[in-house]
Amino acid sequence: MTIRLKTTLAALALAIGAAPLAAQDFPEKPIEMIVPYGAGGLTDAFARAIARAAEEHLPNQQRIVVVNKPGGGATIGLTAAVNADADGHTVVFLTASPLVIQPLYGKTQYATEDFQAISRFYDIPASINVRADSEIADYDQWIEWVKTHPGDFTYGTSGGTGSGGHIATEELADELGIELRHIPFEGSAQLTTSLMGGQIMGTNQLPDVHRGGEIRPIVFVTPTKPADPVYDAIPTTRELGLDAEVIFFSGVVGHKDIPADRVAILDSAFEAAMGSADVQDLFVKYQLTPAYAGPEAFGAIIDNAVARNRKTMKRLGLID
Amino acid sequence: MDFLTNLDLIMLGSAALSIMLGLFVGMLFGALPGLGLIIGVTLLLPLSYAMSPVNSILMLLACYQGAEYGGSISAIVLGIPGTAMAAPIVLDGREMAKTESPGKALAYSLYGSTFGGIFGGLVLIFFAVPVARFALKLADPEFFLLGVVGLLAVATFGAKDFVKAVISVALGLLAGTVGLDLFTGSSRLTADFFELYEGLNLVAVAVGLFAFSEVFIMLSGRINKAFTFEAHHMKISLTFREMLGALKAMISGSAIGSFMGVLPGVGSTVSCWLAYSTAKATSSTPEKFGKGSGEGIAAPDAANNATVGGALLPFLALGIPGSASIAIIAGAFIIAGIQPGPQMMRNNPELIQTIFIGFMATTVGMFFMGKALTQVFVRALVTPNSFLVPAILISSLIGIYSSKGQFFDLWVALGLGIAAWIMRRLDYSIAAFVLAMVLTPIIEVSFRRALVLSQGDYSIFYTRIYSQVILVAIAVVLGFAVLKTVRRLRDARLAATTKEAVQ
Repeated sequence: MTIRLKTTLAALALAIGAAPLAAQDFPEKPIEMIVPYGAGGLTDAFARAIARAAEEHLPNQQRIVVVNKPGGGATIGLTAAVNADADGHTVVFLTASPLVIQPLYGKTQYATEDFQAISRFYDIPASINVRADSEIADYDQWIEWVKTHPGDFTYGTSGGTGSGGHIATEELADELGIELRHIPFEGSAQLTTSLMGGQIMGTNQLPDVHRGGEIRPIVFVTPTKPADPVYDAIPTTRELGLDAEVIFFSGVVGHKDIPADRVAILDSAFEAAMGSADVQDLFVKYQLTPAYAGPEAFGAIIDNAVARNRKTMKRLGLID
Repeated sequence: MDFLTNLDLIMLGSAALSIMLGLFVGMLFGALPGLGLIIGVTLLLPLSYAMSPVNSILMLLACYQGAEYGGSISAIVLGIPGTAMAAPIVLDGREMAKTESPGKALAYSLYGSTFGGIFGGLVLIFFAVPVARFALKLADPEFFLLGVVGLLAVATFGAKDFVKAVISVALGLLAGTVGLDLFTGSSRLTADFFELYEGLNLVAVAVGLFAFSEVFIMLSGRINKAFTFEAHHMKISLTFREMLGALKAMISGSAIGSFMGVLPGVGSTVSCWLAYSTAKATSSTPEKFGKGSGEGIAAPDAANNATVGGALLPFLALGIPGSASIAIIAGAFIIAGIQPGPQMMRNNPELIQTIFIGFMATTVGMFFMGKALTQVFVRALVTPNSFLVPAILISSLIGIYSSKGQFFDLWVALGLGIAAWIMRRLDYSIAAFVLAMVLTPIIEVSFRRALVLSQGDYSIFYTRIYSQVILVAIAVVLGFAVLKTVRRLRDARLAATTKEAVQ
């Protein structure tokens, strides 16, 4: 009898205290933040700074441990995240392509829907560019040139066929009813030198006029621009009213089955981390604009990107 | 020279310490099979956050410089090149170390490295902008031709069996195509392993082909075998005469290295092999190549270290980081609050000047630290294999796993190691295989991209002026080789007939 009573009492106590308890015992161990890229790059630098800042805002004084899992076009890190326990102790810091492009080819061991959006931190701006001394001065002249020379405008992307830059540019070409010629490159060093050397006429990448470079933008295909007054006069596709836009986001996602209260705890720690001096300092140094979004807004960005990419990839014959 | 007045002793001291630390880590990681430059730089990176911008950049550059030389130490002492690109150094370095004098072999390598480092540094300091501008004019047709020239270097390896060399090259070309195709986005020869989407991991390949196959050979031989040398053969120094003899090779190697280093993605791959075959083609004693020629060691080593200055050049002049290691160093610039770009030289002249001076200091420091450290490494030759084998295996396994964190790569290395061991027993050339494999991405991608750009018109490969220069160079080298062979045959026949006449 006494035993049964004790059990009942314990059950009662659990039922009453369940909601706050569940939240407080998370995180119960260090959070593993997978970075699907090698150490030393921009994404890695941000992931580490945000992890350091966010652990100060986590309950139970738990740490966030950054683990680099590069390879397979960043899909290996995401595969590891989707195979981990859905208890919120494993998250992945990613960029757009492995989440909203790679799974659409149907070869990855995960789908976009297997992930729960947590926080978005910033976007990488991208534009259609020409060389600084090109005869094409602005957007109107560019449209005129490509319309009178169909298929002659060669543009390079750093990721090759089926990469984010390729899909975004073809989406714009379709919206404008123009014909461009894609030249694939591997890495932005070769892409940039090829444009500067005049082998190709344009690129889709982050311009570098603000750093004294010669990659001059014509139109931004992202809604954000680098925070430098030199780009004030350059339009974005959104400003032009075009239905062609891409968001190269960077943020944190986790397993889709992570309980909502745990997602909220993680998200609020990451949101708070955005305000830390170290993270703000990185934004200034890399000349990026902070653009925080919570689970819902970030989730909507992801869904929208998947729908757009699927349409363009079908039209290009990249997927059925 | 007003920056000299700004120098104080504490700053100088801390800079010297940073350089020494970078050199030490670089040399150590370069020399240990499997571990290499990228792992060394990545390891130093967190440390660099806590240092002053100049010191952190100098430390990372010193690590780069040190690792390029360190790779030659294991190539010569163990027959295991640190990277696939350092493979040519094994050809003569290992031979000289075994048969003649390990100290001399390492000295040729160290002198060559130092010469190349200084040469590359001077090009960087005095010609950064014009060279970077000129390099921009080279495009895919030229990269394709340079890749083909690199492939021709196979002919200079002195393969015993031509057919087997060709088979090695063909297998290497095939291995180089593994991964996602840039032009169609489809995967090739990946058997649905995501670990292969970015191609075979070069660290796993180098370890498997060189380290593992060497270990298997050690195991199948006498396990307690060790070489014995007299004390003076262990001394790392060259006589003035020997130095002079290798000077031509060092100059041509340095020139090739510092210019090739400028070309992003192409340079570091081709330069070492090109330096080796150029040195052989222009040598007065080409018959010594492959049998322990000092020139055959000094030329590729000079090229290796000259590429450091070369690779830094487009970054400092144009803000374009041309190699993976420079990209990591570029990160250190940004952390230090310096935006890499063409304006860097204008906006931060003191910093750039300090880096230039520090860069020269790293090469000089490398010489002395190399002399000291190599004394220790050369002991590996007189260490019995029963001690070497476990040490090599541990270092290799750690290196492969830490390069990407994939167990899969360990299997790749093991498979290639067994394959390479069999190939070596059957006299197939591992060097030819690796050369073809690392050149495939350059040759294939440049070839296809050039044709995409020209819309299928093959004339793009011979109508451009720079392509023509390379084509003429290829023709001259080939013609020279044919001429040499003809002359040798005629001399041989002449000797035979005079002999007959005497009899």
